[in-house]
Amino acid sequence: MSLVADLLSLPIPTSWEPFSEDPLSLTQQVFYWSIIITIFVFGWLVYAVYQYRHKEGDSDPPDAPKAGVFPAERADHTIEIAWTIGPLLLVCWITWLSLGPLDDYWDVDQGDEMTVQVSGSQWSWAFTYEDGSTTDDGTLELPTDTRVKFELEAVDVIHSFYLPAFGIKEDLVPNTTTAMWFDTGTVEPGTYPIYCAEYCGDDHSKMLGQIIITEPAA
Amino acid sequence: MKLRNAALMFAIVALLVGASLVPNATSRSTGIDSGLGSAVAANGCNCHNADASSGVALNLTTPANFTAGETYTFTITMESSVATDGENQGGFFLSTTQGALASADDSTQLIDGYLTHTAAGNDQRSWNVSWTAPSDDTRIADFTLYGNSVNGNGASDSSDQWNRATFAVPGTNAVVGPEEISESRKVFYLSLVVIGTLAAVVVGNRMVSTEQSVEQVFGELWGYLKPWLTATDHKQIGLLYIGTGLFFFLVAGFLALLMRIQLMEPNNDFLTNTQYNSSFTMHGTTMVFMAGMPIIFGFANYLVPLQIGARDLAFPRLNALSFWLLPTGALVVYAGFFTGGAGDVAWTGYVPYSSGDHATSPGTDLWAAGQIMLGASSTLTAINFLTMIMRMRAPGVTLMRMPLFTWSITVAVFLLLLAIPVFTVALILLFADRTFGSLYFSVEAGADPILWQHLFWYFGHPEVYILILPAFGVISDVVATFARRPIFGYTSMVYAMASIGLISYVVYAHHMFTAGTDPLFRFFVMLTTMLVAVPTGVKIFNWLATLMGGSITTNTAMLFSLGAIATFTIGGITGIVVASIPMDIHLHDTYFVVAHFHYVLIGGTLFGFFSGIYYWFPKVTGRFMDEKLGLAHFLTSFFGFHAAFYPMHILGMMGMPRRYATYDASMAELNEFVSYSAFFFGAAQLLLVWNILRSWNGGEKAGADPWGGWSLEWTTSSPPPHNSFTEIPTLQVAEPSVDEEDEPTSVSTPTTAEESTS
Repeated sequence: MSLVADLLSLPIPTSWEPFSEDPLSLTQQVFYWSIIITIFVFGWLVYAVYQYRHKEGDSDPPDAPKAGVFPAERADHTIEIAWTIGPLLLVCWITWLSLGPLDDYWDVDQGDEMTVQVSGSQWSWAFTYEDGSTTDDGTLELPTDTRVKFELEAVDVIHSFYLPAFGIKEDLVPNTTTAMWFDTGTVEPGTYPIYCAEYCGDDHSKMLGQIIITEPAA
Repeated sequence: MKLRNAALMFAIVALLVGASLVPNATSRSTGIDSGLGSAVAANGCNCHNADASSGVALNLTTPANFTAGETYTFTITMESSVATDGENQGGFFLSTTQGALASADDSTQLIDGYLTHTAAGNDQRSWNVSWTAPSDDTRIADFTLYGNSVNGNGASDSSDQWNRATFAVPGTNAVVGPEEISESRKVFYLSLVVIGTLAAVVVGNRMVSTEQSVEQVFGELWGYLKPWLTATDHKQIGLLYIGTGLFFFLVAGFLALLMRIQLMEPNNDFLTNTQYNSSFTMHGTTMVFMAGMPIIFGFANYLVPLQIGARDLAFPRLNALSFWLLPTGALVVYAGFFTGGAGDVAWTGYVPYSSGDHATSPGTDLWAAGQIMLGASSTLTAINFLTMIMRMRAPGVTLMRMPLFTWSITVAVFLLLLAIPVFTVALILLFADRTFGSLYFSVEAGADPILWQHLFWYFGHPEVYILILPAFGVISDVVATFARRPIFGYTSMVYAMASIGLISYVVYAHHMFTAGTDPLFRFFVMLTTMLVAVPTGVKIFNWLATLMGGSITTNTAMLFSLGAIATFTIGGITGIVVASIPMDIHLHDTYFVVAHFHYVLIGGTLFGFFSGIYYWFPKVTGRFMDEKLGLAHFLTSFFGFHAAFYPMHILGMMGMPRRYATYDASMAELNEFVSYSAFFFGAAQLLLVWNILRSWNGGEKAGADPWGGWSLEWTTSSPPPHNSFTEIPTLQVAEPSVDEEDEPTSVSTPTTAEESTS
């Protein structure tokens, strides 16, 4: 991609798709409201600065600040309450929209078809499949169309198991087992990267792996 | 007395440096593999026990001299008080600077040039090794030996002991000379030589040009320095704070540019991983604690007493202590660079990586120690300001008639008082873990690593509001002054800041959405985080409403404030994006977050305080800053900033994690663009430095109230006299204007306020 195309792109990971398609879905709503608020604020700012610019020979407004005098309060309670309630409703609406997908993200027991133990240590990934076989070269092979639960365990320090193309991550915390799940049917078969997203020392940026989603054996 | 204090301080610093120089090492059951070899050789590694033990005696049978090219057999022996049951008793690591090591039997193996034990050699505490001398017998062969005696229970525990020993074997014709000097020491000595030479040139030049003796020149210099070193006046301390803050802003900016060179292309080798990690750690720590907060509290020191009509802070000498803890604390943190690598634990310092079980740079001890000092400094500052603001306001300055900058500082110091001691205590626990072997954060002892995150973010999130609220204060004052109208909704502005302050304590866990905390807790925090947008929105709308009906002058100060409003709006919106958990699961710890907080902290805080610099410069110096340079500074900063940080949003959405020293090739173009823009933005800041230096004595003269501001600092002369006011002023109250129906303020005489106690 060229630089310009890169700058204009909004790459969306797989796991966002369920709440990105409908115009009333979370990411679309956040996107539209961001644009609306930005245009509103910038527009008002530019308008006010242009409209009320100081022109040669203008006198100060009657309530202009004077040294040592607390200015008369300028307020309009109606409009102030309006722009308190408005954003309040908006963020409650965004919070409400954010709750829906969480059922999906947090219900890790949906990964009921396969369980993979993920073990992170400085600075490599190891995977143990259900049949007890283990790989420690950082490559994880999963069949397509499978709901997989990842059980995450840290050997030494905190790491974070991050699948950037799918947009999911969960920290690996020593002394605790954390979990996340993923349905491999939601992505095309192929090879995708695994990153460590929680800073873990010298070779943090080289704590990479890959996840290979394989076609079903025909 | 003073000398004793200085000696004590020196001794403490020396102790800290000494403590950080202790190496760490380990052995493993099947030898030290190549992934760990360089780490052991550099810093040691410490699966078994954090510190070396003198209970382990290591010996290597070496000849007094070596003959060129000859092969020798050495015996390593280790005597230790650790009891053993015959299995898994110990291991070693042996490296040399000369010649070649070789394995003599199956109990040892050669990896990457160093020797270590094998699985078979793990059951003994004595090994035979072979060494072939180099062909040049004028050299000295240095051997470094790490030996680890373990109790054989198969687990890494604290009853295991290890030690390190070095042995030197000169060649028969070697001249035994002084020790090699390490690279960082060379840099240190070189800079001392350069500074010394420059000082000699300056003093010499002064002696010749003014025909004075050495004593007179130094006397003159001392006469200039002494008032600054012994200052307790809030204005001088304020300037010291701002100067220190700007200095560290440039230092940390320089570190950021080093990182951007590294990220110019994927798999770059400009910095090693360790250097890169130290760079972002020091960049973050410096920007928050040594640049951001000092600049803010410099402004607060200078202006708050003037704005409320006090002659000084409540405790001026305590204030001086607060300030001097800053450069000394900073010196301790930066001393890390001379101990083999500055702290590399990120500014968040997450345990257990930082708590000492897993090799960090030796400078991490100094990173923690220095920040404890900075924490003490901030706590004292908070007490000082709260006391002053509550007790020392001039007649007429009631709480609800304080300028908004003073209000923002009031809220910020409240946050500071409640937040920073938590971080200081957490750092003390961390320091104890690293240095004294306590187990607060030890995973082996069963600690929950999330505890640190709770402690850190309980402080860390209010901290970002401590950084942004004062900028809101500056923007409020500047916008009202240059719009020539009172701020719209003064009361709601105060309540907005207070509620941001309150909410800031119940949002912190949004930094831990992926750390496995309780789902209900996460939901609650998402809601409270979203709520922050409400008072913040009120502030933005009030600023915009203030502009209405005004007579707006867009000089540099105003442009920076307007730029800050615009940029902060974007930073606020991306804040909502990362507050939404479904999106944060992807975006957490990526460049999206980096972009978000730089939009807030550069676009909001820094631009706000740049605005403050241009706005209050005439008050401090009695002179204006250059407007043309100022305009150039604004335009280059504003566009340079957006060019450098906007693309980071996209990099984050692509999935580039933060704190990565390299990245996938598909992100190369954006990263290169970011790097060039960052250089542009960095270079633009030199315009500010040049403008300040040039306008300090050479700017156009300004009167007492050059902009027409209302607050009390504009009623005194520019620069203010030594005691700030020739007579403590009384704040008058304006008659309500005819076109506003709300809040009739009936009298123009002041309501009663506390007597000024100065």
